[in-house]
Amino acid sequence: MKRPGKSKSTSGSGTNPQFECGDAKMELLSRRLSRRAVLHGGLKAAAGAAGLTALAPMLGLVKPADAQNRRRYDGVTVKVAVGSFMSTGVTLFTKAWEQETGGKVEVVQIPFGDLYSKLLSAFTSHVNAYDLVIYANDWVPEFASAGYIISLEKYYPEKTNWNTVIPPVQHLMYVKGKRYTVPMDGDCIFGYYRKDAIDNPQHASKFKAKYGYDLMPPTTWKQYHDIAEFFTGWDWAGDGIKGWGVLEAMGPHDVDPYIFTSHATAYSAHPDLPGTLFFDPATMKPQIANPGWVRALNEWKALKPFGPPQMATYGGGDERGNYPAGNYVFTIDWADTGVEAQDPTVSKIRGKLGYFILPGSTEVYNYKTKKWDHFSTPSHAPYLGWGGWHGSVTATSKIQDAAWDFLNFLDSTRNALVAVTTAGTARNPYREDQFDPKPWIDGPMHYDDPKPYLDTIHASFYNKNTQFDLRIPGGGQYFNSLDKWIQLALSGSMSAERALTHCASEWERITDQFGRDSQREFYVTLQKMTG
Amino acid sequence: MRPSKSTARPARNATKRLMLAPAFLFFAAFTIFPLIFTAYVSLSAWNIGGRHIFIGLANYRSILGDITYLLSLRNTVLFTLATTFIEYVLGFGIAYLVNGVARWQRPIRLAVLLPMLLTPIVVGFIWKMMLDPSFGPIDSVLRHLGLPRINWLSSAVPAFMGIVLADTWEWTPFMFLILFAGLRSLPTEPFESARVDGASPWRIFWDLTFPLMIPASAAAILLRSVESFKLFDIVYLITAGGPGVATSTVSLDAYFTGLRAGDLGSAAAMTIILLIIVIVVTMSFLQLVARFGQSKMRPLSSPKDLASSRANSRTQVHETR
Repeated sequence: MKRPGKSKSTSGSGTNPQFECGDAKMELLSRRLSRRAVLHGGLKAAAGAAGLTALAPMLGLVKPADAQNRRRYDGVTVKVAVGSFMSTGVTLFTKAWEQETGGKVEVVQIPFGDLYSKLLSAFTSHVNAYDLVIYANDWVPEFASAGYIISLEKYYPEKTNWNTVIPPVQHLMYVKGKRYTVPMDGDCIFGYYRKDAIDNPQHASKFKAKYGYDLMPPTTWKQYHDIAEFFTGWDWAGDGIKGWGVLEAMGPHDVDPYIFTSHATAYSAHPDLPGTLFFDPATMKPQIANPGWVRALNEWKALKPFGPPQMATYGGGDERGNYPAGNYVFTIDWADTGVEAQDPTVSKIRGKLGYFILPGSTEVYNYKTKKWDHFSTPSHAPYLGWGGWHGSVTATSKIQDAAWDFLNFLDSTRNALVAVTTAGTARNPYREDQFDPKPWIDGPMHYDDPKPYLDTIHASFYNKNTQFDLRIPGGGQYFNSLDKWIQLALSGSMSAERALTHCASEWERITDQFGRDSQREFYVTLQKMTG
Repeated sequence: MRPSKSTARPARNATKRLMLAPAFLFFAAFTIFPLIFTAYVSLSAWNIGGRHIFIGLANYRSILGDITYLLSLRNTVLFTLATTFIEYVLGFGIAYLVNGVARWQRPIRLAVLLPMLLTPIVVGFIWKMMLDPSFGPIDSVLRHLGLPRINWLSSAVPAFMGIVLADTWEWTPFMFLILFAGLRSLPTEPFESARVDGASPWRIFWDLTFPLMIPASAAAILLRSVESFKLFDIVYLITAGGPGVATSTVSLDAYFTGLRAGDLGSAAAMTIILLIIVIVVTMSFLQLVARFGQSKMRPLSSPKDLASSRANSRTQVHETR
């Protein structure tokens, strides 16, 4: 090998510069060679180690991973979309499922008001945004018929506790004979009253003197009105604060159409004509402007003076926050107000609550004869507004088995009981075992005397004239229209009759938009669920 | 040989166009295209998740016959007029006063700007609590003064006033910011001359300050009124458009129609109508400002007016004495 060429050296040591240069270069070369050797050696060692690792099990040097230690969904992440209001009812159980299965749960909370549009946007864009969706049961027929969610029939044979779901909620799992959901919640709307107002003997004698009948929880809306009027404007609670008769969520763009419908069922849901609350099932002509609905709207409007002025802007959240904290005799709500009232840090009415199913009426409008029919006793029509939270597996999910597994876990008998007896989960009773008072007393919220509460919910579900919500495609549009027009009537901009007539016209347009025959088919299915 | 100008210019123009192209493409993609798409959706019957069908102007006919939309439009216009006027007057007044302050000007400016720094959601919650007739401080103060309680959120006119109040509180600082900058940038010589000539403070303001502030005022009013037309967040939080539709605005109506009810076609039509109105109002306003500005500037060049002003100020001095 030829030596490197000479270069001028300035060392001045008298050494041969050519040799010095050569030495330096040799040294450098040797360093490089060393580095190269190190790198080479390192790579060889790594390759050897990898090979050994791969071969080790075969050679018996290392034991293979124990199959029993692998959990069934190791490395799998289930994406769950849920309305923010209900997210605690999911997150309470994610860790336990993750530990058991090795899977991961990613919970996406969507603001309640945007839930419908966000889910629909995800479905229609066919992206695999979510594996599991938890949403309002009212939307199930729409999602199922469009193929956005899958039928769960193949999974149900392994689900051992589905038949302890109370029958009305079981009905809501089906679309055209197949189950598409697992229920998480049982929704029904009923009444609450203050026992320290109604059960007070002094108040009772004054009430009877004025109205001519005994003071008791109302069985008709007329009684509800009278009692609310009686308790408005004076200190009936004895705490130095003037009280009100009623607090209801009348504010726009919130739960107002459901609260209003709760008032309307007594007058419009004829016990002998099941499934005709919203439409004539033969023609799909809206019933929303019939005299029963008009009367309900006029009476609802007449309640305004018996509640605080800001009630006109209160949504469901405002009602649930204020009723337990103030002096209001009545409210109408889902089961959540009862739960909120148990928290002693925000509630001053724990132990003072009574409950009643939605008041009825001795006069119910008959849309066929176009006359009012009279009954000797009040006809009640409890209303299962909104349908409750239900979970479904999406059609786009690549891990449908894992999604089902988590959904089923959320609805295990034990977990479901924990969820409904824990405050803040927005999950209300829907299984038979959940109507036993004991877990409510012993559970985290230590419900004060839960039996009347649970009995009222149970009675609401099992009344022979219980009304399901409007569970057809475009349900959101129908209720948005109802919300708009009842607000115009409530504000005094137009009469109740005119407002509901306009609403009925809009409902006709929506029905035509979705297809009258198709909507009729869905609605008739609803009719078969009632009565 | 140097290239002639005629051959060099096309090359330079091509380079300029190439350099501008990315910005133009960005503008086209994120401004022009969404606008065209919205107009297209407004001509369709299109629900979220559904097919879209071309229906021409049917959405426009429908919403222009819809009483709630017309009421929302009326509320939006009234709201814009009210808040822009109040905020301009207050903003100008505060800017004028602060401009005259010699010490502590910086902390005063910061204090004035604070409401504008809050997010609209926080502003909405603050005012919802403030206006609550049972728990809010405003009603409490009114009661202590022996004044009747106002149902701020449950009656139509008070609810509207409450929204105007909240918006004025939040956005007067914006007016102040622009107008204060305008005041600071005014030349000093005309004012010195006017003072030397004995012009009264009112004459100085009306004949000098106000006309010279027209460009800044126009900018402030234009920017604020365009934003006012789009009001959504405060009213959503405080009243959600209630009671009834007393405080509903076009943006709120479009939101609920499009994203709650799923009727995207109607929602798009609502916003296109609003856009047309805003464009017409803006063009009209700019023309008005141009004419008004010209007429206001003329008296400054008239010696007769200055002499008259001098005579007036001497008269005021004699009267004072």
